[in-house]
Amino acid sequence: MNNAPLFVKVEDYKGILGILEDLKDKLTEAKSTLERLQEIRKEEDNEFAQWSTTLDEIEKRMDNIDQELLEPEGM
Amino acid sequence: MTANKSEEVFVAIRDPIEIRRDILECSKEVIDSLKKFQNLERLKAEKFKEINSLRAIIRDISRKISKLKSAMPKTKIRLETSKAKEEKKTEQEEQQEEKEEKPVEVKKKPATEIDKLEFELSEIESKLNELSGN
Repeated sequence: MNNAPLFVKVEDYKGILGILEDLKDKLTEAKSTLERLQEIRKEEDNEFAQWSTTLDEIEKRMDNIDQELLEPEGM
Repeated sequence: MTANKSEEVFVAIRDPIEIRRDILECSKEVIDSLKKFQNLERLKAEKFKEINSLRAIIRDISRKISKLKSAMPKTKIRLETSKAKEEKKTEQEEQQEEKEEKPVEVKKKPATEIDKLEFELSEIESKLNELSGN
């Protein structure tokens, strides 16, 4: 295989350009789908972070209740 | 228990309203978490849909690349420089030697999709190696 120029018929060349255009469109589509997937992942991370905060909050309240019940007045 | 009513012992809770409030708040937060779970299920379904869509697009890209490959001319009409001719000659000689040395490799037909993709990948890699060798 050498690196010498290769000649392509004009019709074939136009066909190749058409395929390249299609490929570019598909790549744009793939990129936007991937962006949406990244957004979903961010939303999921956000949901998990909120869950974690909620669980911390519940834990804090449970500790409060625990303290109140285990150390009642006058004991 | 047979204890007398006069012997019953009571424990005072300092702030019962606060405890009641804490319990209600906990219950509210648990319900909120369950609501978030519904949202997470929705996100999961959407993610699944988008992943399938991405897979379809990538398959389409793969098909178009194959189409592009086949659209490229297969003729050997090339401008051959004298240097290229010499290279070609030595290359042919090398290939002849290799043929004599190596037994012909029998390539198995791919079974699963992963096998098929791995097969395609190894084919492309060998082609790339051929190109970088020139």
